[in-house]
Amino acid sequence: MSILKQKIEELQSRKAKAMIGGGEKAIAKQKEAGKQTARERIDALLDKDSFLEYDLFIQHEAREFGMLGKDLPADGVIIGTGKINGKAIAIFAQDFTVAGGSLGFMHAKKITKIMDVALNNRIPLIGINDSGGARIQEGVGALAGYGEIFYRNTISSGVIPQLSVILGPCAGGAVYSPALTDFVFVVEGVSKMFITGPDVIKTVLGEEISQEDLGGARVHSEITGNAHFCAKTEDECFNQIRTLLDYIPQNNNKESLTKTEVNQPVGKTKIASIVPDNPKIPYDVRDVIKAVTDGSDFFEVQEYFAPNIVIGYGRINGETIGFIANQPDSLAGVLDCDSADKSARFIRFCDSFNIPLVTFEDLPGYLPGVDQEHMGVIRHGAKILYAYSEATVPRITIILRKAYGGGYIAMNSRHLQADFVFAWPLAEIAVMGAEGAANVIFRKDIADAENPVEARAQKIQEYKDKFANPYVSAAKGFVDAVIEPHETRKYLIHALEICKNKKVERPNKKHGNPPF
Amino acid sequence: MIKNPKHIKSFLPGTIVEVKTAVGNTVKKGDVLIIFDAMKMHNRIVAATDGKVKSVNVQQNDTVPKDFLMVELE
Repeated sequence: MSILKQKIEELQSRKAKAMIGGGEKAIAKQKEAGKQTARERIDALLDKDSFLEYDLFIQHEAREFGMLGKDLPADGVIIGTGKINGKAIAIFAQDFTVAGGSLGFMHAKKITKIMDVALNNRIPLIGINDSGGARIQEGVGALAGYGEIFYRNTISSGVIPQLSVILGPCAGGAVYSPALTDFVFVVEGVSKMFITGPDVIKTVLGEEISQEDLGGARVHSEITGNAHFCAKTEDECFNQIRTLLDYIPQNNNKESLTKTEVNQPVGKTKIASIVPDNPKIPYDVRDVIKAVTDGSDFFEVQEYFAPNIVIGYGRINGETIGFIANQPDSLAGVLDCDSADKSARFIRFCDSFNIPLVTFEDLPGYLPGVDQEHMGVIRHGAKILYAYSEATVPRITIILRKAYGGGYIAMNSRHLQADFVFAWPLAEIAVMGAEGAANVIFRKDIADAENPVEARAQKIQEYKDKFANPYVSAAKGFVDAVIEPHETRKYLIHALEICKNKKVERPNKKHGNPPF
Repeated sequence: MIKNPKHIKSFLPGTIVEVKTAVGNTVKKGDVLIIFDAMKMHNRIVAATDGKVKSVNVQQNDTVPKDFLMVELE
């Protein structure tokens, strides 16, 4: 046998040993929990045979608490590069079968290595999280590892898309890496995210709650808004990732935006019939979005969180667009703390990555109430104003029906320097609803009238006739054109083309200070 | 806190436009139970879960405060 052949055999046997991970017993346990192994997940997610692994032979350097000489294959995390939809990505996947996927110093070094590869080469980073948390035996070395990861998440933010996939526990400090990334994917029954788990909560507060009710997939998709996509199975989750990566660019260079072939909308294309004439009747605004997108495709983000605003991606004339739309079918489409947070972060992602924004507006205003005020609707609501004003991508607004008060200003109005604002003939653009306005303006006239009820009704009608239309705004140039519903796609295509080389200069600054 | 999907409450003060269910009815998640006028909208108040209607505590033209238990499912 030649020396080379011997050496190759040695390599192969070393590889085989490391690739087994935590061994058969641990793998069987992983399967019992309904989870795939780290390597199976990478294979299922990436294009076939496109993955290359690095740092397979990494060894931890811990000595205390019986760690000396303990073999942890690949130190419990797999890193590498590969392709999804034919485009390059960098990925790490924690291996729960090795010491519970616990994060030690070398484990973290592998993750930061692949994060550097992603950033330096301007390719998306995907992190599959499945870890019991810090490797306690390594003490502060583990904490150092988390800090190094958080720093890189922050520096990469707005340069490359960062996706976190929670396929197991992700607890304690570990949750902050996903929180710093752009998109978090969860799977029902598999994902568990919390800062302090049920045991600590029981000890400190005496409250009993299950892991699922505390930080399961539904909780983070509906209540906290920490997750952006929720799937029933790991494979469905991987499909969502592939779809998202199909819409978003590789990095923040304009050249990395891709164009697909143009398809006409196929869904309910009779756009005028979707929106009821009576402004009090709700409808699903997603049907309006699908009536203007190529192939009527719309990929919704954070579907279950703050459903009173709809955000997501679609294409117009082959190019990716970020849609923001008030949803009259949920809380009448009001703006509140959560919907402002949700849309502001989406707008900032799109602006970072050169994705144009289209806004469909139909809202009664901000949600009134003591709880909203005390939750800080002032600072939360300000985020959406900041995000729109700051964005330099093309920004187009279609006012479908109601545009009232502060909500009108917030939803990418002309005053926040929208590029184009179009309104349907049904649009009502006013400082407040006719009922409220009549009570204020005509308080005395109504009180002094012989029949106050009749007088009030008359004054309301008077106000409606005067202001509940798009023409007052059109007369001031706040609306660029009043358009027929069926012309919406045509106007959008035209406006987006006009804005193609949009260039706005901002005053030189280190960065702004948004109301986080 | 996690909302009880069997308690259908008013999200704001408002007026009941129409009651579309009755005690004893079997409902499916997403079925419209009440049309509720608030925030310039006839909001469709839907069942958050499958179930049987245990009580209906409102009727047409009632005005209700915020967080009023309008319908309860078994």
